[in-house]
Amino acid sequence: MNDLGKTLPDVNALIIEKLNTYPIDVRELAIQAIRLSESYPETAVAEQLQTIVRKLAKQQERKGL
Amino acid sequence: MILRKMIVENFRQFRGRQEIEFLAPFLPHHNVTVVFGENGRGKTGLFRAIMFCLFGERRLSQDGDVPREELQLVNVSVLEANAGQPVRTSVELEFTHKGQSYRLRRAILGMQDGKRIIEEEDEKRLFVITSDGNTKTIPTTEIDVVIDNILDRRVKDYFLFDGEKIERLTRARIEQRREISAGIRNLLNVDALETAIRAVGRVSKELERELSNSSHEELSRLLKRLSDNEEEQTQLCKRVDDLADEIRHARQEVDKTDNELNKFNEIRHLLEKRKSLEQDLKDQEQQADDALTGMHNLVCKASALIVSPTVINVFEHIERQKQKGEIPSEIRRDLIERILADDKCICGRGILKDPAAHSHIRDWQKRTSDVATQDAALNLWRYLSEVRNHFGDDTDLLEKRLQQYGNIRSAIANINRSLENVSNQIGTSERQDATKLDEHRRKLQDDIITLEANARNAQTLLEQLKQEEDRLRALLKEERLKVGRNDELSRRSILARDTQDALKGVHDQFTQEIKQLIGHSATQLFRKLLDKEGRENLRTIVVNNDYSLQVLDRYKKPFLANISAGQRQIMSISFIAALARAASRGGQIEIPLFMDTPFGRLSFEHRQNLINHIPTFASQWILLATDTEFRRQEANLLKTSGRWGKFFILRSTYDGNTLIEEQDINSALAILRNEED
Amino acid sequence: MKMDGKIRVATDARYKELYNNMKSSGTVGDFHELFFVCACMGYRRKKSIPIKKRDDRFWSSTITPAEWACYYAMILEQNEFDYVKVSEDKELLTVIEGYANAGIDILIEEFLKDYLLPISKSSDPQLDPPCCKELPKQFVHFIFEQSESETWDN
Repeated sequence: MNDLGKTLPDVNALIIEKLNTYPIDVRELAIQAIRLSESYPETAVAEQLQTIVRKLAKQQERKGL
Repeated sequence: MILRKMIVENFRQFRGRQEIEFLAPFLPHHNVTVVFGENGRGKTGLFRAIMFCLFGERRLSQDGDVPREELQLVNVSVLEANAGQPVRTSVELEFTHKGQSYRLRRAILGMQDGKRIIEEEDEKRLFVITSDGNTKTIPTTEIDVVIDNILDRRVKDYFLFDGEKIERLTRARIEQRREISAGIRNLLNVDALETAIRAVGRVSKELERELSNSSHEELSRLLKRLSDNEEEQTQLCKRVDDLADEIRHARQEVDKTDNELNKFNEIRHLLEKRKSLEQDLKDQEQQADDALTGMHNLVCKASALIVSPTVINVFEHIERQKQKGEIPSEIRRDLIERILADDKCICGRGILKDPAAHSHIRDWQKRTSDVATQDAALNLWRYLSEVRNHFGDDTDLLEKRLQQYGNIRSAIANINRSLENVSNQIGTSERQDATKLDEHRRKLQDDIITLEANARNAQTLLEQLKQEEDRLRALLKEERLKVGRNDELSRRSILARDTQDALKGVHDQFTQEIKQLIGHSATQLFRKLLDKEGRENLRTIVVNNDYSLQVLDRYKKPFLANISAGQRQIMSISFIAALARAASRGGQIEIPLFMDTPFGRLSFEHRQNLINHIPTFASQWILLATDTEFRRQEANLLKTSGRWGKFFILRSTYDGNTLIEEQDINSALAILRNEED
Repeated sequence: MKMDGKIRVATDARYKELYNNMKSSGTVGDFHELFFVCACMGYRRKKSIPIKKRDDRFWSSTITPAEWACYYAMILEQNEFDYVKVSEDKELLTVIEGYANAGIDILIEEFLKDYLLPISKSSDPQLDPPCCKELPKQFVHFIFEQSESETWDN
């Protein structure tokens, strides 16, 4: 089976794999965004992400980042 | 997916119930079906039937902006025959996929409503035939999901290779790049990723708006500039899209005009003849008018001819008088009167004594007239002489002018007859003048050039804005850091922005990898399909960053502009096949490949390579061909390959419909043309 | 035979409009031409009709020498070459007017009636413009045919 076969089956899983090179909070937010986007429309995803962003920013503050 | 059988009923030009079996049950390796027919017989209609059955769709990508009313599916002759009653149109498909057998049926009801035809969904059923021979019905609400899992509808158009698509794909025009870009995006199935990018972008923008209202002046200023930049980019992107649409429409209009002009080529010489005749008619009518205007000059000449006998008679009388010496008189009248009064001749003799002499002199008296009268008579004689002398010439002139006029009128009548004849040959008066079509086409071409220039300018501007955006972001990042990590709003904004960048980066990376993989896959196919000469020089197919296609030579230099039309065609086929292979998740192309007249510009070696290789990497190949494309040579190649399973001919019936006739492959050679024919 | 130019030549008043039409349609260049045609036609058929309602039409100064010559010839022939009869132009033209009056009737009867508006008893003859495109040519053709005809009405 050629590389195309490997690449395409689970696109989102591959995307998530590529996010490993990014900082943890960026990765976390990105993964949440993708997962939500699998099931919800854009506006709903954006609304939910507002909360997640706030939570992650607070975690950053606590860690002193 | 392997198609087994299709049954169409009253679908498009297929009247009644007709069947086409793609694969013989016990010959799975004979995966090539040839459907043979002239243009307009319904070859693409078979592909349309499959797409309708699978997805309920009636529009193919090649239909462009054709109005929905022209994409009706119900057979018109059956509708007319049923006079007001609804007609059922259906397509039933039997296929296998991953060891499972399916039977899918979709039907509509069509009805004539005045001038239009209304079509409504009637039936949609999917059965799965299990391994133990039982039939399971799939609920109607789940049918689309099952079918989409077998074949994603977004990639369906990759499995129909029509000649036009093949021909235009390698052009580096904006609409081709968009097509390729859309194709790759559809393959990637990155909907969730793109939704995520947009959603995070919204959050980021909202946070930046909050931040710009904060007291950090420089930060606010940068955010404002960034926001303006993004807004400009959005506008420009829209403009680029709009321009691409305009260009696409203009090209469609050019194609339409070319079709009209092609019809004109058949009658161009007639049009020129008509123009020439019209000019002749104009000239002749002008001559006729001039001749009529000058006619009144002939009235007096003609009238004088009416009394010509009188003129001649009087002239000859005066002439005789002249000859006799009466006009002018040889003896003056006053002398004669003196002689008579004196009764004495000039010689002195008395005249009364001689009655004969007296009588003679009396006669002279009678014959002579006064001088004034004689002068008038002589003048009259001169005038009459002139009138008389002209009689011959005037008669000739009149005859000539009348004859001339008659000839002009005859010529006009002949020209009118010829014009009528030519106009009848040209056809209906609805046809536009070829000159106007030419002008229209030229204008369209000029418009296209302008639009393409505008599109390039917009693209350049967009790139400049992107560079500006990067610069601003860098400044913004520095400024945020200056503002301080303890500012929570800043932190949120930075996080959202960084996440959006990360997702975009992944998207670009992913797309890039796919482009490379498709390029690689296309290259593999390309090198198998190319002729010997092509293989020596042409090495790699590349999908550029702007989604245009390129081929590199052995020196890795771009070589697309130098390849032949046939090689270009092979390149397109290879690329589309690579997409099809990607849509089938790599390896074997698991969806039937429909190729509509793919051989058009191909040399015999190219055709041979297609015939030898495509059946090996496609699970099923359905070749739609005309008599100029598929001849005995191609038939022999297919027979030799051992892959040819079925042969169908689409024949037209007396009522404009099409009949699907299966033919034995062995007798195909007798039906097909030779290369020399 | 002085070719006097100061004489008023008349036609019957009912032909005034017809004379105007024939000139404006370009069939004849001027009134004297039409008069000449009619006079020749009347003389040829030996017909003369006195004018009922005299209406001056044109000056004799427009009559060409060739037309005068023809008029003199007609009167001389008619009067057995008595030059006295052609000595007075006014009297001569009065005789010619009779021939022209008969001639226009012949012209209408044998040719122009197809080009006229429908004539009622009360209306004077007028040309029907839509029918008159080819009239100049047809008129010349008719006159020419008359000249070629061998019959003389006695």
